[in-house]
Amino acid sequence: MGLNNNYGFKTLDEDGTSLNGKWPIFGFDIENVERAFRTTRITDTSVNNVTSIPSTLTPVTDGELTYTYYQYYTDGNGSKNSHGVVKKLVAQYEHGYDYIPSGYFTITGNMNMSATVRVDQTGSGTYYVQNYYGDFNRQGDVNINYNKLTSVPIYPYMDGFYLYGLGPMSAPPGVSGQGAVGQYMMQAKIGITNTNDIIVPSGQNGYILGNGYTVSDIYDIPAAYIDVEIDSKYVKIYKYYAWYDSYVRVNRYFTYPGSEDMFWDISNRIRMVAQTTGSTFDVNVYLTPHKLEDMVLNG
Amino acid sequence: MPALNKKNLVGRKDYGVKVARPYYDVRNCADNQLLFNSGWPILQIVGVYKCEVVKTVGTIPTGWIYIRTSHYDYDYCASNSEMVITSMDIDEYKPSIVSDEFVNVTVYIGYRHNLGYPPLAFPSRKLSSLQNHVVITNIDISKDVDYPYTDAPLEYFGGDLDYGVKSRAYWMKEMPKGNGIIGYGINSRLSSKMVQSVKTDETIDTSGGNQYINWEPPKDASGNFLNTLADFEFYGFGTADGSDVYYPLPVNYYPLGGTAESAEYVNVNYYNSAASFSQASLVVLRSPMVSPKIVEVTYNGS
Repeated sequence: MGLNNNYGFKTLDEDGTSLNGKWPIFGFDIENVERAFRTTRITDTSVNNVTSIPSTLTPVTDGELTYTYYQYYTDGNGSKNSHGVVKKLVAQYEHGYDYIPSGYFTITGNMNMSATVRVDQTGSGTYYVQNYYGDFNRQGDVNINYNKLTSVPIYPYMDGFYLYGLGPMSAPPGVSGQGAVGQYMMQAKIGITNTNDIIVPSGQNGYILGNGYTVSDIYDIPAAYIDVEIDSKYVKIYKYYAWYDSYVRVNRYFTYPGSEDMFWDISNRIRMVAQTTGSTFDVNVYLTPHKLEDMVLNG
Repeated sequence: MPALNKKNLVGRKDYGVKVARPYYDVRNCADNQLLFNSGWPILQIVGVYKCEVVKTVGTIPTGWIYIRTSHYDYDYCASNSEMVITSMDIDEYKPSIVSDEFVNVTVYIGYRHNLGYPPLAFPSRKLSSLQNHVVITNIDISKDVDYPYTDAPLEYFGGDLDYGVKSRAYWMKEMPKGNGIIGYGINSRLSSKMVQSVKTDETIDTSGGNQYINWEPPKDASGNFLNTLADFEFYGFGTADGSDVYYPLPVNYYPLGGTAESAEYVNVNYYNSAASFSQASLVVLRSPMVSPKIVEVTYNGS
């Protein structure tokens, strides 16, 4: 490993690790413990607004920065879907160094994951219902314990994050006919005790949103996570959360169990945003005074 | 409760160097009243090394790319007695306006350290702005051991720390001057995380067909946990059959009541019927002896 090592001290141990005076301790400065080893205990009371997603299906702008990745997909029916991640600054503090120190963070505590979903249905024909059931929430509380090195996207499995919709086959008041019944099947029911699935038509295929899927399963992004960035002055704690916006057109036939060859032109829009409301967790940031760039042995 | 790994407890070292905190008597103070103890299994940085490409998996298409590494490869290093391997820093997702497609491409980089043991190592980008390097520590992840240092962290109450032990770090040509903190190897002003345990398959209790490494926090004489799981960090590793490379494995948490505040145990499932692992390791790091500054924040989204 190169350099002159004929100095310092070593301990000679038969068990475990041996101490070596020329190897830097991977530790923080006790005299500045307030900055070098700080736990920020965060209580998250924020509620993300599902309706802030603009109708033009561009990334949301209510966060500090819209993260770079979102999808915009259009099929032959004119359906569009888009998703992305919003980045929000939760807390920051000065670390006191005049350079970027090295270090890492861990997260401990509980991250409560849920999502707010809004379903709107419109149609070009007579039989349609707009926003019939309004908003509803499916709460999925997951206790997550993470002690890991630095940025860890939290991929909780939200047990039972469903859009529930299919219920008794009766039309809503003022609406009748087979088309109405079919539309009813696409409508979401409010409540978390419903055990049926909704089928969102997308062309010929029923796309079942839910049924054990999470935002991260569908789009391979985490629903929410915490990250820490350190620059030459600040330690910054960020929260990222995902949003999803799907505008679905159906102008072909739609099938559902027990009935075939239903034709109508109908649209619905499903918007969803991840929530972490009610989470309490510690972000433990641990900084050392070492500049790794100065410590490279083979550079 | 599963069968826990057998203990491999080392004794307290009643020799070497101890430095007490201000106002405490080094002859009779507790572990958390010390600044430094040469018997502590603290983390030290053996070296920081620039890596070279060792392997590329997948093909980067032209146009747009979304490159993602395995979740565990991205967070950790794999190591054996000769080499440390991690994955390369990669550009972020660049979406296409035509279609969306995810491509998995992983570029593995590594450094040949020839230390003679598989060390606990970290990708440099996880510790700093330095990319494509590895930071190698002094922890041997193949050596089973339990340490007796279980005191809870103690708040620092102030006092002059310009005393104790200092030594020059390996990259410094001369001893740092002044009352700074940079350029030292040993410095009793620096408080490190420590190793609590390294558990390997050598101490697995296989009674009842158990095939997992199982570890729980230390207990007092009455059988009460001295810590919660939240006081520790866990790194799991396993080697595939015929290989001596310790790759990251997930650590499974089993807390009482479903929260980290109620410690129970963790385990590493090193036996995978699809790809059985011949060796496994669970590295348990504990908090330093100095407790953090705690700041409470309520975030309302504004």
